[in-house]
Amino acid sequence: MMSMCNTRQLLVSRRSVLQNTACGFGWLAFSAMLAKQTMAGSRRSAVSTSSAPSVSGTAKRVIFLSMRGGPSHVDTFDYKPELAKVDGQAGPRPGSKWMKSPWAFSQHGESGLWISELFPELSKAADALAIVNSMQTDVPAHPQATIRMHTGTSQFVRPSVGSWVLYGLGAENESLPGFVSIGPTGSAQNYGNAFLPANYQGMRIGNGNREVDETQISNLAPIVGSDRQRRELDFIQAMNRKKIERDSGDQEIEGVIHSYELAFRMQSELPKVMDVKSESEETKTLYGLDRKETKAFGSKCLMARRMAESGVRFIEISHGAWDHHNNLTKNLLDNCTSIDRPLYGLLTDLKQRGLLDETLVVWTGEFGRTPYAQGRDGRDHNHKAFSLWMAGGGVAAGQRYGVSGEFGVEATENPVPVVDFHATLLALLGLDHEQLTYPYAGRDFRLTDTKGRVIRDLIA
Amino acid sequence: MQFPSRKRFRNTFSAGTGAYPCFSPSTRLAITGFMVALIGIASGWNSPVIAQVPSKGDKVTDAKDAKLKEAKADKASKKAKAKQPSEPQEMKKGEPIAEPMEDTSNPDSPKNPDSPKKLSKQELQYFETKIRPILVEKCYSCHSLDANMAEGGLRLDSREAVLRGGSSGPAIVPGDPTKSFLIRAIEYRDSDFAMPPDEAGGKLNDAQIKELSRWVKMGAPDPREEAEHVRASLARNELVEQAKKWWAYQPIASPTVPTISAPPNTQLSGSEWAWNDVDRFILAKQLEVGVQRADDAAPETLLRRLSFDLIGLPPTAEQVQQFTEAIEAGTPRQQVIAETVDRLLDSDQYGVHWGRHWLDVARYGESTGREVNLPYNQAWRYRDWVIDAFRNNKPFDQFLIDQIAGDLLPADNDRQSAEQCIATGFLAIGSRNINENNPKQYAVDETDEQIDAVFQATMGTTLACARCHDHKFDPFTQNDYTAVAGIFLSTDTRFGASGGNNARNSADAIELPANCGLPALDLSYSAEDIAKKRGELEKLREEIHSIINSLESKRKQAKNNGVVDRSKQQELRKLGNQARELETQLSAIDDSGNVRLLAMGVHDKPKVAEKESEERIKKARYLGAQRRVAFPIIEDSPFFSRGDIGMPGAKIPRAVPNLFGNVKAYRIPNNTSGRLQLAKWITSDENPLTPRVAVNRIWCWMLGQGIVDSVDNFGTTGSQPSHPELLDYLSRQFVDDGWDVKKMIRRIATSRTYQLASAQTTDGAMEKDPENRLLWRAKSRRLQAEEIRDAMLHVAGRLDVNHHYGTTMAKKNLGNRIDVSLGRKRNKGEVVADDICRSIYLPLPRASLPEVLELFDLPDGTVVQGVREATNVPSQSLYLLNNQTVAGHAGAVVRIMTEAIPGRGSENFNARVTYLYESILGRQPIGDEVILAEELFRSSESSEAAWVSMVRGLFATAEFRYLD
Repeated sequence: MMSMCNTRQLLVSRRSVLQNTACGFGWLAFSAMLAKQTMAGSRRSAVSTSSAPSVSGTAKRVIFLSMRGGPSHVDTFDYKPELAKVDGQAGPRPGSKWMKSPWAFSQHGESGLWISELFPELSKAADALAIVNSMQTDVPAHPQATIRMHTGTSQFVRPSVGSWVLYGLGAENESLPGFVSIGPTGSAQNYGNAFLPANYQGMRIGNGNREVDETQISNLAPIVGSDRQRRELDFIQAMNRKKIERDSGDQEIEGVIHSYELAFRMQSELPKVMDVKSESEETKTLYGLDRKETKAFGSKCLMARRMAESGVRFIEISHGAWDHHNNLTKNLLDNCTSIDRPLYGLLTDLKQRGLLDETLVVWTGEFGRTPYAQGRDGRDHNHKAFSLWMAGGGVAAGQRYGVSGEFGVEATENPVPVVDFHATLLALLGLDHEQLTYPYAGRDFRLTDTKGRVIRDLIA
Repeated sequence: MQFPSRKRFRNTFSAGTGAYPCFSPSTRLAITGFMVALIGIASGWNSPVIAQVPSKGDKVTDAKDAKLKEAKADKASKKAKAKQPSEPQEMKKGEPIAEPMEDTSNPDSPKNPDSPKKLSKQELQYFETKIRPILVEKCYSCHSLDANMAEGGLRLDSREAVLRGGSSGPAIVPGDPTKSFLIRAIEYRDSDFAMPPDEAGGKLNDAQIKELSRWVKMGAPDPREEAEHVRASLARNELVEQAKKWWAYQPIASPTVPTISAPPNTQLSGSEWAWNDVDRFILAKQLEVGVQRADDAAPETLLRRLSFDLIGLPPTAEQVQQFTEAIEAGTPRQQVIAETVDRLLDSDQYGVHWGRHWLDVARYGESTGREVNLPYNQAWRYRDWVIDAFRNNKPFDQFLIDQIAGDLLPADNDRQSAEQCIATGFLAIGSRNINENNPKQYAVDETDEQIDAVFQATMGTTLACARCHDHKFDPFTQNDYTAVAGIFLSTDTRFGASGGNNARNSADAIELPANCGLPALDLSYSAEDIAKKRGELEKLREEIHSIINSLESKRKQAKNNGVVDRSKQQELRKLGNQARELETQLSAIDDSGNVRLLAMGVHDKPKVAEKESEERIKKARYLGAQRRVAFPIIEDSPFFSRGDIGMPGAKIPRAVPNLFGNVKAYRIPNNTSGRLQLAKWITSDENPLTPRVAVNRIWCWMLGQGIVDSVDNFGTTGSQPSHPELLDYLSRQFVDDGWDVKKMIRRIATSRTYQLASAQTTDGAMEKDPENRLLWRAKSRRLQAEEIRDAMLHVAGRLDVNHHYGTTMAKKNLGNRIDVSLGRKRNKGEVVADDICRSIYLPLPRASLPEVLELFDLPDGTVVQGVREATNVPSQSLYLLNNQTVAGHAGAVVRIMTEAIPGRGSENFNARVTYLYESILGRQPIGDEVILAEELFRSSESSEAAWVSMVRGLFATAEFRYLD
């Protein structure tokens, strides 16, 4: 309820400010300050009033790498030696046959984590990873599972995890959107704010796997001088405030006002942050920008690091087409190749800059794939077991958590439903998933709804 | 991989408005399981345990073990194919049970179920309530004729089949569970042969296992004479009966208009306040709850509302002045409003605005969407037909019939025949996966898209959810779906895009009668140009031909079907695509160089299949074109188990859904698809959904919120009406008036309810009814994308309100390509001629919509969408602040203002500010707004720049964007 009180206070204060101050541009900064206080307040409430086990996470932001389509876990991060032994034999589904991974696995780093040869570069950073092999979700259909991974439920329209994180932690940089989704596909619900205020909505940059650069945010460059624009904005916002006064504090008009504040500040900040060209050649190479196959994803990773550095709370990068019903041998290899170097680059770069400890990196799909074949060279959806990994942000790295049975069909030891992953993610950010609530439709809602269990073993 | 668009998602998953989402067959399966579980909890799907079977120590002989192992091996190696029945079978329903079972039968006296002995009532009931549901839910998917599967040779879908058993012998030994193979399997006795396997849902629960054991012990009484292809069960019937009680399926009532006696707690007595019957229904409810209504809206606010709501454009300053003056001069308010409403409804622009509403519902888009996005160069004809239909106030039932079956209706002349054909474009304009390489899959997907659109658009019904299973929430069976699917599978959908490697499924557009009098596309080709293109095409064809021939001879020599020269194939592919590009371009022109009259639409398929040509086979082999049309003739659809085309069952006769008990009255003759019967059924007197859905849509487009919130879903997962009596009253009026849309709009617009102010009152209405369900005030709404753009152009004096034939997309005749810059180049400030037309005429290729429209939430035409989203995000702010086109509009407004009020002196400053407020916001400046404006001029820049700033600023205000 804390958050609601604050929101109301904000409205009241904002209105009284409007009534008492001249309509100068300084107002923007003032309202931003208020907003910041509100968010800090809600975060405090989420942390301090916790009656549950104390939440100790220290991560400040998230880079969420969303592999759309369901990457095959048994070919990437879930080593299944037993599967090779039954290759070609009858599988568990009528008529199915087990299919061993076409790729070899080996152990890496001091931790000795098993990683497939599809990730020769990332393997070098094995000790930074906490691999969860026992993820589970409820529906093996892309849209539902993707939305569940992003919002906790596919049955209702609920705020996305990025919106919750931004709501909980507040914006670090008032000149940038606090939540950015780079190259998303599918439903806007995946970065939607649902019933949270509109300023917690993710800002979409680009679409799908195409390369992204700063020119893709349309209309970012001001077309008039700064003095002119300042006066124009003053005029617009003064008019908007008059409308709010007439309409007794219409929420939607608040949304319009906020959108102008952020739009104005973004004009100067966002292009700078997105401009990866200004990085050194060495850094660009680190992210694989020198190679055709890794350039697109590498640029996005580099952009994500720049955003993380500049104070964007939640940065999501989507990477598509992991739905390997057929041509697995070629297409999975291509996909992994396109991200392997950039992933290593991202983790290395974050570490070098001292950002890794406070930046939680998550790599995940919406579900996994069957260890038995579909057709000759493919795997079907599998929601009963899949793998994700986390790095940085206070994660207990260098471990493999959970087991997906002998063959990878279903999580058998320490299964981690999506809701537990969400609870853990929030905990890593110092947010108590039971306390981070928002009142809506007569009750307090949370990302984890009525469930969620923080997995202590994953927190350092 | 396909993700349905976000809109679909919002629609399908919103609380309360959710339709059961449907996806590819492989994914549906699991959703089904998940949803079944939910239903089970909600409706007591699972049968309760009524008896326990005493368990005896089960000893297994070695021989039996051997048999099990043998069966296992067999299972892995063989997959018996079930024979497919060729004759359509009638649906068989679970038989009704007269009374609850009494446990009088003696379980220890096995009967011989082999003979067609009549079962006792108790036995029958036991089977129907306990056994059949388990078999249907848990076993049929792999062991039934219906599933076209009989794993291990075993089917469990008839008495005879159970006793015959599979490769391991009989499934059961009646009377002896321990010797029954089936029971051992379900008890998971042998870990290698445990049924059902995990992938089919895993081990049965204890109760189910006990039921089956008990049933075998009873002697396995089984009434199933022949293989069932219908997954009907008593539980299912109960669900259907329950769902049929949902309000939306009830006949439309004839409510009497409430009489309002002077209420003590209002300023006005009801009879004085209410202007028409709409008000009386609304007021009655308000009085019941006791909420205070808002005042009437100010005249200028009301005119702006009427103007945007009816024609999608703001009123001019003169119109505002006239309207206000008339009211102030004492002309009765109702009279002034009625005249204004008539004027707006008579305007050509009414058709544009309301036509666009329908295009949202009709999921309009100008390309195939999905992975391969090819243009629909003829989509505009359907768009224009819709605009004209609204303009001419075509009776709404006829409007629907034309769109579903216009081609099957008689026509007096070529013009009418052409228009009726164009109307069926509704069925063709959906998005489609043109690259699908299985023709059967493509056909059933196309059909599914059509079913979804037709039923949601007209009846607010999610019949498409019953594609893979009986509807989980509404009274539709998969049989109903299949019966309707046959109608559309018998329909040839001519969307007008050519095939090829990247688009295996092609369809020519329909050529309209040459003398129909409809305009042709404005394409100009010189004879030279055409000749050149033809020459190129001929050359390409020759090259292709020679490569194909050489490959063909190599193939024959090598007697190897599979191997072809890859590099040659690559080349072929390239040439093929080039050829198709030209073919598509040239298809727009006839032999004498005239532009052909083409349209998207549908026809019935032929009654007899055409023979496939050798040429077509080669083309398919080497160019990736589809070899044949699946379902080439008018025929019924097979029942696809779990929606999987690999599991076709018996054919289900084409029919309208069995919802109102009138299926027989709409019997479909053999020689027609049945679309006409379906269309007539949809608009029939017995169908209460269609008028309710239509009236509710109109209501929603006028008041911003439906009487039923979930405008596209009237099923049991949708909402309850806020005013059920009013909805029925209006629906009845609507039908009695001959489905007259304008009359319905007029009725709503002239109600006092429509004319309230949007401001919040202070006496607690907000606390009592924050959602404004009781309509105690007007709902302020954000303007739609088109309204924002058109209004800016309108104020700038640039808007060309004339009808625009064709679209830029078609006029460019780019063949198979979509010029992605069409939607996007406006970023760069280019103002092309098309830029000043009303937004409805802009090119709308899916996934590449014009920037301004996409920014302000234009639906992308993937799904039926009766309500638009209305976001407020920074990208919109940036557009208004920094976009060159907007700046251009602002400059134009300033020029008009300067012409109107030329003097630059300070005496004219106020006049100019007033002029801008009036033309942009439809009102005069109030309070200190003139002083506010002066701030814009306190700079060293020219006053011209300041005026532009002010105009742009007014465009950017929340006030401009919101309609109060």
